[in-house]
Amino acid sequence: MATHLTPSDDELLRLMMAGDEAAFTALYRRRQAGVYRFALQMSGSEAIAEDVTQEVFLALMSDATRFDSSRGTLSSYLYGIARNHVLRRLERDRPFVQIVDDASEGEPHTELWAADDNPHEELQRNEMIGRLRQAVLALPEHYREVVVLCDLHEMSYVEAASALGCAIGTVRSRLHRARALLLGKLNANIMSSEEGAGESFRTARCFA
Amino acid sequence: MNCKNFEAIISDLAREQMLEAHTRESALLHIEECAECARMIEDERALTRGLRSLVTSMQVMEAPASLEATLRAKFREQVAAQNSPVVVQMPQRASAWQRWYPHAVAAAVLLMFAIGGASMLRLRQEQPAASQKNVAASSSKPENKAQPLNASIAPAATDEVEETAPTTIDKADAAGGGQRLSRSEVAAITGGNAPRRPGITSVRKSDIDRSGMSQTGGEIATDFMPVSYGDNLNDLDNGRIVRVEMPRSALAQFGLPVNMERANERIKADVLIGDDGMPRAIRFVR
Ligand SMILES: [Zn+2]
Repeated sequence: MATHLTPSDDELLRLMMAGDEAAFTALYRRRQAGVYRFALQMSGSEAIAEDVTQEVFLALMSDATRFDSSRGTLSSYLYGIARNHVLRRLERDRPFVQIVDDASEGEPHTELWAADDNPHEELQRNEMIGRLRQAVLALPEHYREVVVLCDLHEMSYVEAASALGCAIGTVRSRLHRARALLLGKLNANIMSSEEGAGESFRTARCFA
Repeated sequence: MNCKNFEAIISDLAREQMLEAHTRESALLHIEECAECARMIEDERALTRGLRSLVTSMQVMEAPASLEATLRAKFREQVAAQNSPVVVQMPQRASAWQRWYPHAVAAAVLLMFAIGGASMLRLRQEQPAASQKNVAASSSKPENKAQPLNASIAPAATDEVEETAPTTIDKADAAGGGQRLSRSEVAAITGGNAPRRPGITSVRKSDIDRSGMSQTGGEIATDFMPVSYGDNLNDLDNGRIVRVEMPRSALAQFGLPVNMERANERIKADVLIGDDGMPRAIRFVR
């Protein structure tokens, strides 16, 4: 997590609260991608990720006084708001949110990884990443959020605890358990494809 | 180190987290002796690598550019709303008044909690119907989910009660029940025409922000402000002042500017308590 940015998040926030649009824009540009990716990794849905990002920054502009810098960084605070919105949204839309499968959501990644001399290896690599993403999405929410924060957003236990509003020990033990679950899922996947079950089984397996 | 101990730190090891040097050494030693744990740490390390690849693969993803434009427009709208006259006929969008008002009410409730839990009950029984309706929106949380006056108000107010750091009463003053005031002293505070909350008709936020400051015995204090909107301080016969400490952020609840860098510091305030035990007015002291 970047901590030595100038001006600091707190400084931008102060200016923003005084009505400075440039400060709001700077803060938004600095923090939107993290919030958006967090919501995307938690929900698997770009629509939800976009809505959540909007909600997070609307909440910030309408009630910035709620941020308490003694409890953590502004970044953790924003992740915390994002997390609440994601969970609420998943709860509300549960029957309707279809977790996007590899085929439709994989495009940006294939593009990203395409320019390489060994297409076969790259393909395998992409498959592995796709599987991993699905395995993360299939984790129960309280395990998913610690993996996303600590392993995908490289937050420390302290920062994650501040975003989630729980004890540091809880973050650590959940992460430990979450990773064991991920490995269990991935190993089961690999076994199923080695047995010749093939690609079409993969996603089904993950969400069985 | 045995397998059980190893398993407990395997994630930290694979994620290259800080570990005690001696723990780390004995863990690495254990892998050399135990094939099962060596296989497990390999899996864990592969998982770490995989997750890092996943991070890289998503590095360019961000919110669509159109969202920035939308949010900036909202921001401008909000700043404009804050600088325009605020009327009680509440518009759809949260105006400065709407945001300010529940905070003031929440702070009043907070104070009531701090100064005596019972006074809140009294408040609910005794407030004239008109203001009771308002207070109930933020104070009914302990019993039931508030029937919000307006969806955007109630959550803000109730959350504030939960989240604001506990208000502590300065022991010396609280023990003595505060400084007793005679009727004339109360009148001096509340004035012939008390510093009432701006009237129902129309008020600018800037008027709220620039509440007057006065000098009292080496301390600088704001004017007394009623803690609940529309409270008439003129009908206060007797009262006492209790010195309390509050988070600086409480200033914002009264529409006063807060220096965010110092938002966590505590500030002093004098609360004027009526004979009924209810906080009626507050001034902030520096
Ligand atoms: Zn072992």
